[in-house]
Amino acid sequence: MRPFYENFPFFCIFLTMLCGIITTLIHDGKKARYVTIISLFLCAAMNATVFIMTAVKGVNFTYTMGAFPAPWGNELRSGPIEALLATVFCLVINFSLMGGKKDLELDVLPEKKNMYYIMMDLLAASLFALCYTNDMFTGYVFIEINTIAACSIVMAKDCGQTIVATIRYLIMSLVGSGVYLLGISILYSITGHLLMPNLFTAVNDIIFDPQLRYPLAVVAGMICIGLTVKSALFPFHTWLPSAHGSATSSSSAVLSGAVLKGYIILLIKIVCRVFTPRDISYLGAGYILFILGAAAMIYGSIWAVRETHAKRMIAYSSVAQIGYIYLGLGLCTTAGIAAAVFQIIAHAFTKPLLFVSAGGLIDASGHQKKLYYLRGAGWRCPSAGIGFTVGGLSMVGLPLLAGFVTKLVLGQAALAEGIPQWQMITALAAIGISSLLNAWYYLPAILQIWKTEDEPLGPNGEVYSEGRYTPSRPFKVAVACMCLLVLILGCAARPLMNILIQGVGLL
Amino acid sequence: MKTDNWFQRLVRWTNGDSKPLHEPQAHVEFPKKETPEAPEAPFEKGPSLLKSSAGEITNFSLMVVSMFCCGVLILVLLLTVAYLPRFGSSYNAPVNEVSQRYVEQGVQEVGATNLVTNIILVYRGFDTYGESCVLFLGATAVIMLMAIDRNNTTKKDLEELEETEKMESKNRNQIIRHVTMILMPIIFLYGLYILCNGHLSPGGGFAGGSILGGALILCETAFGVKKVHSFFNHKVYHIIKVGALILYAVLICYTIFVGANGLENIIPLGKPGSILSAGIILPINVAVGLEVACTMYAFYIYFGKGNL
Repeated sequence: MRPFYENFPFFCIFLTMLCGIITTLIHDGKKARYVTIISLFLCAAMNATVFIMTAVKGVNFTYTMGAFPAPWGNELRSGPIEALLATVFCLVINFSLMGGKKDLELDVLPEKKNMYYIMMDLLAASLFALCYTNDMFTGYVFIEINTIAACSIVMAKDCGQTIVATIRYLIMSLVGSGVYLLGISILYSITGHLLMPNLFTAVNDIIFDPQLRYPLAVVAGMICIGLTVKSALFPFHTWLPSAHGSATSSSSAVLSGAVLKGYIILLIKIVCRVFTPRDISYLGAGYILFILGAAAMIYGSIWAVRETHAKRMIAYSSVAQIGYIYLGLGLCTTAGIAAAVFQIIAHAFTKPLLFVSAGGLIDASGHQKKLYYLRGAGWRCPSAGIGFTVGGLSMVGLPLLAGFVTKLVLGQAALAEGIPQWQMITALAAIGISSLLNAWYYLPAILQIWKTEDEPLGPNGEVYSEGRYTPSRPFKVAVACMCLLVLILGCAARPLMNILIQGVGLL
Repeated sequence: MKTDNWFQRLVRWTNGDSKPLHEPQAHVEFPKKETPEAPEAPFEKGPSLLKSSAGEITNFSLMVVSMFCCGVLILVLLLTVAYLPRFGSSYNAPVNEVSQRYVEQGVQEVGATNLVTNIILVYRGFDTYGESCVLFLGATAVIMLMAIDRNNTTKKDLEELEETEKMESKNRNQIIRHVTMILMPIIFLYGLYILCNGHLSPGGGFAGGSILGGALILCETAFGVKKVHSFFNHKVYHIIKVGALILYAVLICYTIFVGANGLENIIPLGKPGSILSAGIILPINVAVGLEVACTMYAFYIYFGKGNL
């Protein structure tokens, strides 16, 4: 008889799925919303329990899905990192839903609101499954669920721009899934397994076989490319700004905070558990991820500087931040991967904070999305202004905020022994330049929203006066919680980093 | 503005006073759909607005780059195939203990004589449950996009739809109606047979469900949406879809929980080969079949009419 808490990952996946199915029958959008939010808080509690139990003991466990053990049946596997990330995703989705409430009421038609929550429930289920899966094919099934749900929440705001953005997103996403599927089919035909531990032994046997080295390199490449297309790494990022920039704010927040990260976690699991980080670097995929990550950090920031549309600017900043994650992963060391996981968590809270607060600022300025018309918006909606300021400063890398710790641990990982010199120099240069560019577009934006001198004018000369806009209570709670989490991550990073390094070792 | 030097411009930009330096190129402003003179405008105007100033050249170079990428991908994949082990040889990697147990002990352990059903519904039941959720999500996404609402339909569209419906109901083809009348019961029966015999012979929920869905679509084409509505309306659709998925979820949940915690499974396996055997496989097949039938019909009807 296994300890009861080991059932929790399975409960989370099925609870959210069942909630999604039952929500079909709830036609009232408000009740559907409560069902989703309550189920997600329950899941957060369960995942947090799993995290505490595994982190304290420093163990991981496998959970057979059914009576038949792993290579025959399905299996979940849980350790500190998986449980922590699942908890983070629950919280991020919940805060985004709470923060984007006003926009949701405006953008999604009342008769279609319950479907939006169905998508959110299944999105959460698929994210849990991507965190906990121990099987390449189960990963693929839940990638499919994730793709459909993610495209639908972009589409939910039913206007021309979002439809075009959704089509782009859908095409790129399907290319990504297709390439990943091809990768696992080739891997199956040379190893005969789909389960990660079995694949690990099989790959170790054949990695130095001259006959099979080439297909193995192709597999590593295809899996990496498939998942990077879906998580919008630099040359494949073209779908991201329009999808994240045009969707309703809670969709943008969930997409950038949780959905992109789900694929990266699967990739990290594959890098650590099917191959070893050393194998990935031996097969050449590590260097490619590293270079693309560094390029994304600079390219995304340059485009964000050029952008005048508030939400698209934040979306381009996501491209840069995804680059940080891949830079850490591409170093192929434990410290590098732990830094990447830290960046996943930090960005998962900071970016939704920015999107949600930008949504509030835009609401307070007569739904004008250009930065130019957001001048002084911070005074009209102070909670959103504070959220935007904290998020922006964290992205720039102000000490005591989460973004600073990311840059610090990434830099430390790049300076560690055994990293080739060119990688060290590239990483440090990319971090430096990217931080400067981040400051170049976030600081003016922050200054603009706190501007006081003249009355802000809309495109037709409207005047938005102070105090006309009152944000909803869930919005304030969500922004406050996310600000607090960003601060905690920035102040108390060392214990968390220790847990992450231990967790990466346990992967 | 032109007289400013770069520093003054920077200061103005930082203060948020000046207009932005660059207008984004791919930012498309869509006209409202209500404008009577250009109802199709979004899709006619889209490409031309998306073009950059050096449109033709960019398009051509993009085409060359994408063709080059495809060519490289094709070459890499062909080379990979050359390295792969020969198809069908008994020394291949996939011939291992995994498939051996499925073939040798499947009937005994799970109870269905159809081995494929054993694998997809019991051994790897979690994956298949995920796949049925994909179907459910697909149908929901189509309803979300296509269902008639005030954003995607104008009064004129509704009138046109009604007119077409009237025209169709007047000119129903007699031959199709009579043939359908004869065929319908047979097709339904055949679908049900495949659905319920999924654990004994080739077939099962996915195959049987698509036959049922096809029968519903045929019924709609022959008799019109109103006749189908008399027995399969919005409410029935939702109840069947949700009921089937919940039944599936509960069964698979129970099996997984019991199996993982080492408790005793009270669902009997029965005698392999008889119709009431193989434990949860028969009800799951029925549930999957209903789900697939509902999804197929929903796709058809929402893409055509926008309303169930």
